[in-house]
Amino acid sequence: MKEQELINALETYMEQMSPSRNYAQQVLSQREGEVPKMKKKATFSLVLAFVLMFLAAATAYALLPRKTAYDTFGSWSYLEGTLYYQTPDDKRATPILEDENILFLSADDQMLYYVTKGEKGKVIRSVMNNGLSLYPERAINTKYNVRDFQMGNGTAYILAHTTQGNGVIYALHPLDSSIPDWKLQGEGWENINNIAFCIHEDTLYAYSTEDGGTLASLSIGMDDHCHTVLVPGLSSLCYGYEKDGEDHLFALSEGKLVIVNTATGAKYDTGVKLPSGAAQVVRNHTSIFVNDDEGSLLASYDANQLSGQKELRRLYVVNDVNFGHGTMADVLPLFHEKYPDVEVVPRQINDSRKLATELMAGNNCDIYLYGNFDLMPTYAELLKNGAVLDLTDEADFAALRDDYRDIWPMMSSNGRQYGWIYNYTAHLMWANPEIAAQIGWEIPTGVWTYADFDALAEKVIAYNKTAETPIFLMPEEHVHYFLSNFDALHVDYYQGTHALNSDAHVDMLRRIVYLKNNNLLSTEKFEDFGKHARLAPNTLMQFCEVGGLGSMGDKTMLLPPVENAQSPRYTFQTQSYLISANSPMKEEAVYLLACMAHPEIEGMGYNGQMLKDKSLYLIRDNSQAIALGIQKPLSEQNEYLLNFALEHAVVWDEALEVTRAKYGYYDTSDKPTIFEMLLNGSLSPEEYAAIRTEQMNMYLGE
Amino acid sequence: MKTKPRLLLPGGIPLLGFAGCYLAPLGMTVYYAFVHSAFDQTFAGAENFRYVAQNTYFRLGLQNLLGLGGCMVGTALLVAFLLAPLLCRHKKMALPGMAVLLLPLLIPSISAVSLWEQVFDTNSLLSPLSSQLALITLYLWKYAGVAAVLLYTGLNKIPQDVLDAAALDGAGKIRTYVSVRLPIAGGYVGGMVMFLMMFLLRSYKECYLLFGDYPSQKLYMVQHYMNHQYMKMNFQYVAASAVILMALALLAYGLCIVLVKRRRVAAV
Repeated sequence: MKEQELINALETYMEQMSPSRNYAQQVLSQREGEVPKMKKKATFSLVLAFVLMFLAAATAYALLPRKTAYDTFGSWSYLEGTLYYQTPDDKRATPILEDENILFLSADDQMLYYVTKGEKGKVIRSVMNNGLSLYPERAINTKYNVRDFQMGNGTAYILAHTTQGNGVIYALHPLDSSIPDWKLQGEGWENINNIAFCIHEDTLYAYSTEDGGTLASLSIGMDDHCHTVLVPGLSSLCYGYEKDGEDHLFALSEGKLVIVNTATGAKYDTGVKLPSGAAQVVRNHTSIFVNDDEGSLLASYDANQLSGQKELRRLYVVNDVNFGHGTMADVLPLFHEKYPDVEVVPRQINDSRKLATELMAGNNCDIYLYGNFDLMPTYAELLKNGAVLDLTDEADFAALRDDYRDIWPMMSSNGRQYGWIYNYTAHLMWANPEIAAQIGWEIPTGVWTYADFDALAEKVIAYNKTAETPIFLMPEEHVHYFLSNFDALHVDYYQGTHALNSDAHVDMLRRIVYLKNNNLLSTEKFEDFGKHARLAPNTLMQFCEVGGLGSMGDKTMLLPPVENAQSPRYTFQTQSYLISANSPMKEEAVYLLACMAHPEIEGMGYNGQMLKDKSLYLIRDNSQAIALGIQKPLSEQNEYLLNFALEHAVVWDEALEVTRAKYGYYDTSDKPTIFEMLLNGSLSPEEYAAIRTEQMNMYLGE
Repeated sequence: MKTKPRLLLPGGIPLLGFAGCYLAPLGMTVYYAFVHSAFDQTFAGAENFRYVAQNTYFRLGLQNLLGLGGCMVGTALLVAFLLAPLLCRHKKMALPGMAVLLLPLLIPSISAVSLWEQVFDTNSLLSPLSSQLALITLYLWKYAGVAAVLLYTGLNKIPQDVLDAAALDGAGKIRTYVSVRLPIAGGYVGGMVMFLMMFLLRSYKECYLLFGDYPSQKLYMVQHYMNHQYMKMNFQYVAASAVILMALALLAYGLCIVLVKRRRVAAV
C-alpha cells in the first residue's frame, strides 16, 4: 500500500514538475520494470539451481556401486550397506537388512544367501525376501580366499584361491559347517585356475584358463559326469537356453556378449554392443544383465531375443513358492512336451487388492496360488462368482482320480472342483502322556466327541482340587481352533448361510468361557511352531498344525473332538492353485496343473501323501530333524490319524477375522479384542454370538 | 464468435485429458454395470441394478450416507457459519486463523485416527454411538475449518456500504449476517456444501481406519458395500452402485439448478 501511494505521489509530482508526462511515465515504468524483472531472475535462478542439484544427486545415487542378485520373482540389490528386494510389481525396493560387509550375493528362490564378514571371518548368512532369517550363519574356513559365490540346488559353491591352488571350486553345506567341504571333481576335468562359473539346475559350468580356455559342464546331481570343451577368451558366464538337446551359455568374451554351445564349444557373437566396463553377466528368468566389476548394472537385454528363439507365449503363475525347484523343475519338461512354445513365467503379488484387480482385468495372471489372503473372497465365493475355472469336468483331472485317495472335497465346493491343492495344514492335537497318566485319562486313539471333552474337563477340575500342582487342559491361545472348526462346518459361503446364531454356537462359546472360569486354560507362553515346537508346560493337550507326515514323528497325537461321532469332520486349511476364468490360456493352464498333480511328479511330498500308492510317499520322516535328535521316526498311529483326518476333512475358509476382531484396521491401542472380552467376562457368549452373527450376515448378505 | 484456430490446439489438450481420465473410465464403469461380471462379459441388462437396489446392505449404506452424512455435513456447515464471521471480525487474526483451520487437512488420517482411538471408544460393534460421535468429531475437526475459510473468502468480498445500509435500516448483527451477508455469499455457501459433500465421501477412509472392514450397521456406508464387492471381485455390482450414486447426484444437482433458477426469476 505504501509503495503504491509513493508511486502515485511521485507521478503527481513529476506531472507537476515536468511538462512532459511521457518522461515521468518512462521513469516510473523503468523503475517498476526493474524490480519485478530482478525478482523474476532471482527466482528463476534459484529454481534452476535446485533442479540441477536434484538431478546431480539422483545421477550420483544411480551411479553408486551396488551388487545385485536375481531370483525367480525379483531382484536383490546391495547398496551402501543396505540390502533391498524388489519384484517387477513393486513401485520401489524394500529394505531388508543392513550389513556393511556383504561381499557376495546369490539367490535361491525366495531366500538370499550372502557372504559377509562375521566376528571370526567370512560367514554365509541367509534371509528371506520378507526379512526373516530362518537359519543361523555358517562360518567359511579361513583358508579360502573367496572370489565368487553362488547357490545351486541348496548347496553353496565358492570359487576360491587357497594355498593349494587358485581358482578352485568347492561345494559347501550352506548351513552346517560340520559337514566337510568338498572340492568338485569331474572325470577328465582339472578343478584349478577357474575364473568363472554358473549353475543351472543339476549342472555347474566352470571356465578355467587351462589349455587356453576350458569350459566344463559338471553334473552336480547324483554322479560326477563331466564334459569339457575348449573355448578361448571367456570371462564371465550365465546360463542361456537349451536347443536341440544342447545347453548354451551367455558369456563375455573380449568385450563382446557371446553364446557358447557347451556341447561343441562353438561360440557365436550376439552382435550386442556392450558398454565399457562390462565385467559380469548374470540373468533372471527373462533378461540378461551386464554388470561392472562392482556388480553395478550397466545394461540389460531380453534373453529370448538374444537367443534368437521365437517369442514364446507366456503362461503366468502367481505366488508359486516352489517355482525354482521341486515341483516346477520336474513339471516343466512334462508340460513342454505338449506345449513347447509356452513359457511359464512366475510372478509375485503380495497385495490382495492388486491381485483382485489383476484377476478382474485378466492381466498376466493365469494360475495363482491362493489361500487365506486378507480381505479376499473364499474359495467357494470365487467359484460361485465365476472368477475361477471349474475343473470338475476337465478330462485331465478325471484321469487322476484313480491314483488319488478321496481328497477331492478338499478342493471342491458344492460338489465343484475349484483348483488343485498345493498344501494343507491339519488341525490335530498333541497330548502330554505323562500328565494324562497322572490324571488317569486314556488318550483316545480314534474319534471322540465334545461330550467326552466336557467329561475330561470335569476330570481335570476334580483333579486340580486336590493336586499339589494344578494342571491346565489346554493353552488359552488355542481355544480359537474350536471356533474355526465350528465355522468350517456351519458357514456355507457358497449357499450364503451360517449357524452363528444357533444354540450350538452359543454352547461352544459357553464351553470356552467355562474352561476359562475354571482355570483350565494356560496363559504361559511357549514355542508351538517349527522345529522348536514344545508342549505347553503343565498342560494336558494343545492343538497342533500338521503340514504332513514329516512333522509328526512319534509325538502323542490325537484327533480333535467332534460334534458327531458318526460323521466326524476335521478342520484343514489349504493352499490351492486356481486358474483365473479370465485367462486367455485356459487349456494350457489346466494341462500345467494336471502335470503338477501327476503321480510321477516327486517334487511335492504332499502329493505322495495323497496318493493311493503308499510307496510313493515322500517326506515321511524329517531326516534332518531326526539326525539332529529333535524328532523320532513317524509312528504308525500318527500316520493313521493324519490319513483318517484327510479322509474326513473340511476346509476352513477364513473370510472374516471376527474371532480376532480388532478395534480398527491399524490396532494402535491396547484395548482388548472382542474375543478377549469374551474370555475375561466383559462380553457374554450370547453377546459375542450376536456380534459375529451381525458381521457374518453383513458379509454374506452383500 | 468463432473460436480462433490457434486456440483450438491448446483447448483440445485439456479436453483430451478430460476424456481420457474421466469420460473413458466413466464409460467403462457404465459398461461393466451392464455385464454379468468381469469374468463373464455377456450382457446382463438391468440385472445388476436390480440386485444392488434390492440389496439390504446397499440400502443400509445409502441410508447411513444420507442420515449420518447429512448430520456430519449439517454440523460442519453450522460450525463454518459460526467461525467465518469471527474471522471477518478479527481481520488481524484472519491469516493465522485460516492457517489453524486448514492445518487438520494436512495431517495424515492415520495420525488423527491414532489420537481418536485414544479419546473415544471406537469398538463400533459394542459402542456404536460413541463410534458415530468419533466419526462426526473427526470429520468436523478435519473439514469444518476448510468450509469456514471458504465462507470467509465470500463474506470478505461483500462491500462495506451494503452492510452499512443494512445497519442504517436497523438490522442487528445476526439479522445482517443471516439475511444480508449469507444470501450475497450464496455462491460460496453452495461451493462450501459441495466441498463438504465431497469430503463426506472421503471420510470413508477415516471410517475404515477407525472401525475396520465390517463395522456396526450404524456406520456401514455405501463405500463399504462397494469396497467389499470389489474385493469379492463382483465388479459389476461396484459399477452398478457407482452408476446409481451418479444418477442420484445428478438428480440432486438438477433439482438445485431448478430451484436456483426459480429463485432468480422470482427475484427479478
